[in-house]
Amino acid sequence: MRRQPRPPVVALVVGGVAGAFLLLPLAGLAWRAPWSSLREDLTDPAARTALRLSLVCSLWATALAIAAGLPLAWVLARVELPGRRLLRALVLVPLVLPPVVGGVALLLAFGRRGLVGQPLDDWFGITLPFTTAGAVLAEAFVALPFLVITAEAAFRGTDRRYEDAARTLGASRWTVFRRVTLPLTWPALAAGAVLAWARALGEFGATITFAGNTPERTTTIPLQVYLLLESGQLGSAIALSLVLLAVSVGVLTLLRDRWTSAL
Amino acid sequence: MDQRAVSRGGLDADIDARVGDFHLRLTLAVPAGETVAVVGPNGAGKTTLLRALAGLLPIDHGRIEVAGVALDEGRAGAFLPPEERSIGVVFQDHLLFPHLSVLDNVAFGLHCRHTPTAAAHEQARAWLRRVGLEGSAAAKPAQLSGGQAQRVALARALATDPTMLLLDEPLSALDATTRVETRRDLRRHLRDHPGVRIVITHDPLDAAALADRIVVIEGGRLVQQGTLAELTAHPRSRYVADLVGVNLLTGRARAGRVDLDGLEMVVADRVDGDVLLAVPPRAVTLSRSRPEGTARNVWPGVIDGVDHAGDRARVRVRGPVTIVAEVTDAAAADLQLNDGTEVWVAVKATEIDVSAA
Repeated sequence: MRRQPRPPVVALVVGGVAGAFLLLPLAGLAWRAPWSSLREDLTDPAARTALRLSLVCSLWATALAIAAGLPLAWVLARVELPGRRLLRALVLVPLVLPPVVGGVALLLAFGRRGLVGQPLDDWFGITLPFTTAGAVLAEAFVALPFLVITAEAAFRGTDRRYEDAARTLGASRWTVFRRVTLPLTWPALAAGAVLAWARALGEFGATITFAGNTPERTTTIPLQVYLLLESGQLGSAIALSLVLLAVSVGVLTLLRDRWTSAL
Repeated sequence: MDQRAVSRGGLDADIDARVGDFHLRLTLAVPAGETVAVVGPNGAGKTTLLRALAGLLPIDHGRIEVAGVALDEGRAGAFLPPEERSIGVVFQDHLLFPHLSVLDNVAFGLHCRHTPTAAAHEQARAWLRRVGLEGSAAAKPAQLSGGQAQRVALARALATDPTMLLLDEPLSALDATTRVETRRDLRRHLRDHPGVRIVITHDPLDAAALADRIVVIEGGRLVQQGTLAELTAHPRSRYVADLVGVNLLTGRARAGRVDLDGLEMVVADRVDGDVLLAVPPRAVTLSRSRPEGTARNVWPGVIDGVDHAGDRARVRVRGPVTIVAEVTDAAAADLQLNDGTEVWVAVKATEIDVSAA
């Protein structure tokens, strides 16, 4: 039997430090968690409002991302557009843009004096900033790329000959999408939606900049955590943080196979 | 259910289509009730032709018409997308929808035509019965064998009663045993279909077994068409000759003598100019010493490969020209024909078919 070569000590040590760096804060969270008062912390009216608002906003944001993102992903994957590469790069901007900058940009576009916001306000009386709808918009903005990337890859990855076969059988483009493309890409699309939802749930910077931090309207869990920290209620802040951590771990577990198989 | 009595119009196609550097330019007419096999080497344009007929590739110029209906008139005119054509396509890898049951696969085209679900399932079941797979209605395509998948694909294509049936290498995904059986069934189903039937294949056996007529395309052009016998008798290209197993030599003829670049042959036909010589392998005789006889075309060569097929051997002989001889296995053994053996080749002038190139 061949002996495995001994791994270099330096790599082991540095790797160990990096691993500890990633895990220690999480351990800290668990260590300082107010396990005994967890129930009260999470059922307290302010916490419950934030939890409910977070759930509602993130689900709406995910729905918005799906409604807008699927057609966009399909176009990017299937239509020969001039400037398609540029468009594909632009879709990724919210992914790397600091969320605060995203919030400022949203204000300039959808704020009361914004590019789109002004006519919306003048003509229809619709105001987005500092409303729940604004919080949804901010979350959708940061979540959209996750859905578009996954869906585009899925659409590209499908064997288009199945779609050809469906067309020769008399299926319209919409029928092809509904009865062939969608079922064939379903698992990847679901993964994209879950990713987008997780990102929307944790959104902070763009939300607080564009939608503000008004309890019962825009104070989602991350914003509530921030409020609690500011007012020195560390225990309650940790309790809500644990909820977000649990969701992250849950999503990771759910999508583990997809990611490891993609690597 | 015998639909053969129903007579329908055929296919009339004049196709000019470019895909990148490839140019498909040919005309093809197939009356309803005839099966045509389209054969050709890889890259000849067989699949491009099928895609053009199916509407998956719009043509640039020309016209495709089936039963009097214009499907494609090139860039300038009408174009019916695939979903609006009355076609059935059996794809090379069958392409059964993996997420649908066998029954739903067969009913797919009927659903698209807004047949109510119960009626669509009833018709699909009837088609599955005809291909002998009624018991697999609830199965998923992944559970089927290659031969079964082929039959489901055929049922799916036939279920909408198309005016034109297109089959792309329908048997190539099957193993040898399944192939013979599936070919026989396919032949029967093709005969029962009253419309235009076009089978794309690279296998001369499939072409001969399934089709009334063989169309050979090479480099995007139609090079020859006819029955297998016609092709064998007068192959017009090296590919056709290889396909049907005939030696094809090119040369220049003058007054009964053909210059073959290093060898002169005597032929019976009087054709002058550039010619194609078709020499049936059975007409080529081999011997270990120079033959004394009436054969006028005699030359020495070296054996460069022996293939055994049934009780006969096909022997390739390298010399001034390379030629394939077909002899009985017994003769091959008597003559001790092995690679590298020096032999004399003889061909009678009357056995050589000459046609202008």
